[in-house]
Amino acid sequence: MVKLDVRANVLEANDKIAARLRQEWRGRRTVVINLISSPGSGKTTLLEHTLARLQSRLRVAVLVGDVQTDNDARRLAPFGFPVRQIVTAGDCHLEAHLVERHLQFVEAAGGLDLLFIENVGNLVCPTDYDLGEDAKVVLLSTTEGEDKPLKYPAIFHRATAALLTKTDLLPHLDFSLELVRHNLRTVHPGVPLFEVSARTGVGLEAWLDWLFLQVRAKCSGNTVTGGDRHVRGRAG
Amino acid sequence: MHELALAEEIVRVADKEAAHVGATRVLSVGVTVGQLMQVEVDCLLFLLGIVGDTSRYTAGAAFEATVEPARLHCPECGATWDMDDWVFLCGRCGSTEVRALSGERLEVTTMEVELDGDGQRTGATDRW
Ligand SMILES: Nc1nc2c(ncn2[C@@H]2O[C@H](COP(=O)(O)OP(=O)(O)O)[C@@H](O)[C@H]2O)c(=O)[nH]1
Ligand SMILES: [Mg+2]
Ligand SMILES: [Zn+2]
Repeated sequence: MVKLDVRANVLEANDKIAARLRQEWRGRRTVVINLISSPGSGKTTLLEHTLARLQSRLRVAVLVGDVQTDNDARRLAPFGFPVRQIVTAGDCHLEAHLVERHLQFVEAAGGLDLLFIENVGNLVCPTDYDLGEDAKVVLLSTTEGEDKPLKYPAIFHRATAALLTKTDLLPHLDFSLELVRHNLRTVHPGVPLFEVSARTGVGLEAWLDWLFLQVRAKCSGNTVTGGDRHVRGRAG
Repeated sequence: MHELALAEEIVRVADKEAAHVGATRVLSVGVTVGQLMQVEVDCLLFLLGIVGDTSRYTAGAAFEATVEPARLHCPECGATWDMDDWVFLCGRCGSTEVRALSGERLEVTTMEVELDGDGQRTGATDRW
């Protein structure tokens, strides 16, 4: 019997591809945003309203992951930007190799300023899978309750920015803005929080400003967000 | 289901290592799981038992997990402490710039294997 000192990163296969993607996008100066939330928090709706406001302002593309169906891609197609559905056929998260497989499509779109990746609806599984993105952005809707940042702290801690969606519903709910802000700031004190309603448009300007800031920063060669600060690796 | 994907990755890494050193069988696998990785350790071990049996190397192997605690550090006042309940505010000075020094590891740390003609080839084996 032999004892081996292995110290191998369990996610090394994914992380290697993600590093390659990140390098690729650094060269192209494309900002990549990985959108993560529970199913139904409003990722696709946010994208619809975001794309509508970015028409003729930025060059954008979208990769959208779902367990089944290409409904979301069809919802996002009318804005004139390239959209590609990634059907994971059961997997609860996107992995870097799935994104890499669609790189050609993204490249065919020409020089891109911004690539959105809508992850599969899930607050746990996508958290550990680096897709080479500049920023993970987490969405929480007002109908999900204020305690979600405490129940699923890893994604709220790791996200570069957070959105509280469906704020138009607040008058109908017992949802405390104070409490959700406090919970979020406990697990991630400095994180920017955008409180938005896609339905009324309230708050979307600040979100768009933040996106423009990311694009401008990457163009000038540095990333405001500091990239993925969740660095994994072998200790030895 | 996050744990299932991770169990599959762990077995894949163990298989690769076993093949690399020319092992015939894996007896045990020691995994380190960072506290910040939000992994249900009991669930992971349960699934490793099932997924492990699908590989000719790790079938019957004992899987063990060690949780790597999250040590937090405040660069403003220099305090260092063990994370409690994901509170990333500095309890001493109130700073919001708290960083994790550890707790994000997810690795196959050690393995015990049987080599072909075990007993002749001994000693620690370096990784590829
Ligand atoms: N009232 C309200 N409903 C919204 C808003 N954003 C999304 N929704 C609704 O929430 C549901 C799920 O939205 P969707 O964008 O498909 O969520 P996804 O699964 O995260 O992509 C849909 O019925 C949307 O119409 C909003 O700002 N206000
Ligand atoms: Mg969607
Ligand atoms: Zn301090």
